Amino acid sequence: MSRSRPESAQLFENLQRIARGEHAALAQVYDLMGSVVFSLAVRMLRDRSGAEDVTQDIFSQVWRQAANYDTSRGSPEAWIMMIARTRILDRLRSRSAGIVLKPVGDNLPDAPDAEDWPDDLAVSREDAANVRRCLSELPQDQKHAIELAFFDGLTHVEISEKLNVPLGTIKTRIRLGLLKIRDRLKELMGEPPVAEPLAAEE
Amino acid sequence: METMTEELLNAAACEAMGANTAAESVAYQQQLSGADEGVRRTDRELRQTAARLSAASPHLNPPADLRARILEATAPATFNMEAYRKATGDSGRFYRWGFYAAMLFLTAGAYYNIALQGKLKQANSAVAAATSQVKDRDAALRAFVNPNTTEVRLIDQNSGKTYGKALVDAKAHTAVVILPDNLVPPNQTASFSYNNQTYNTVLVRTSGYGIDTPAGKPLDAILHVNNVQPDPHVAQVGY
Repeated sequence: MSRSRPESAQLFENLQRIARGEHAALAQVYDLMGSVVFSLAVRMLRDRSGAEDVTQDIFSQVWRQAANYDTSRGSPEAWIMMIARTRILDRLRSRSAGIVLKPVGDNLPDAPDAEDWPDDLAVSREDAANVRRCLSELPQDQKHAIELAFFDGLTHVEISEKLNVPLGTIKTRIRLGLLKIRDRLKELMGEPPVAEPLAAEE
Repeated sequence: METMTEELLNAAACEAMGANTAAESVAYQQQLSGADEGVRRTDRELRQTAARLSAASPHLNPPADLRARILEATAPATFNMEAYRKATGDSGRFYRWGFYAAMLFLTAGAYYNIALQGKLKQANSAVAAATSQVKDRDAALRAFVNPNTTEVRLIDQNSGKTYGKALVDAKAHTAVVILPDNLVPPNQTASFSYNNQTYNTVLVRTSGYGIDTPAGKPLDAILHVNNVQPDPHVAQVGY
């Protein structure tokens, strides 16, 4: 999610245009981020119809709140994905006691395929490959805790119960896993690592 | 000021991943609001790192119509008459009746203006008549005090009744004729002539004083002029 990419710069400019009320800019933002948001929604909800609905909600929120975007709070891609994940989590948790219906044969891809990542998105193919690489390099217990928290929307309490592991251990695995991903991504992008004295191995 | 601790870092990581409970999330936000810049920076970095994890999802293309649906749902509201009619089921009857009502109003307004103009004309005529009457009465008063005028009584030749009077200035060839209003038809005036000479005449109408002309006879046919000095010839009053 480097701001140096033309697509990322376009995303930033279009958010500014949206903040000025230019509706056409929302179409540009959707072209740059729509499939990324939709892919995450499908991965988390495991339901295409629900993913479509929540994607619409997410871009409606982007349209309403673009003026609130502050560069000091991160890249525009990260800002949109934070909105996306919050909305998807809300939907995921609101239906936790229900049943999801989906069309027969609507099977989701089993494994990520970096070759399919388009070139014209704000999140580049290289970014996607780096994130997958960082995840795959984590110890299995940290990776599992991260995936359960991020993609399944479970709280650390729920993860603890699901894995029958003490709560404190789950918190530590999430913390260590996330810090490793942060540092590894910086390394892959050629940025200096962050000195974090508390980021010791579990 | 809050500094980074292992407990706070755990909370920050779980917050970035959305793994805190609601109560823990509130408590963390309170801690963050009083934390130093190092804690805030770590919080931002962890949130951005978590956001990047989205790219780990297998890429899927959304349905082609989703883009149009989003743009339609977020389009700025503008008033579209056709859309309004479709949404409200309005057939346009309201607008036709509105048009008719507007036409009726404009017609009534035009009629009112015309009627008003007529009334204004009537009022102007009344004012002009009143002005003229004032002038005539002024002329009558001047004639009374004019030493050159002669008073002529207008008398019914048969009955000897006096119908009115005329104040005649023989030198100026002017005459002021005073007659009861009911003897002079509306929109007509009097012309005083004497010795085959027509005088410049001003008619002053006065309220009726019970004198009616004999049926079928014009006024000038019944009038007799006397007391005309120095030459008491018959004078004619026509109208």
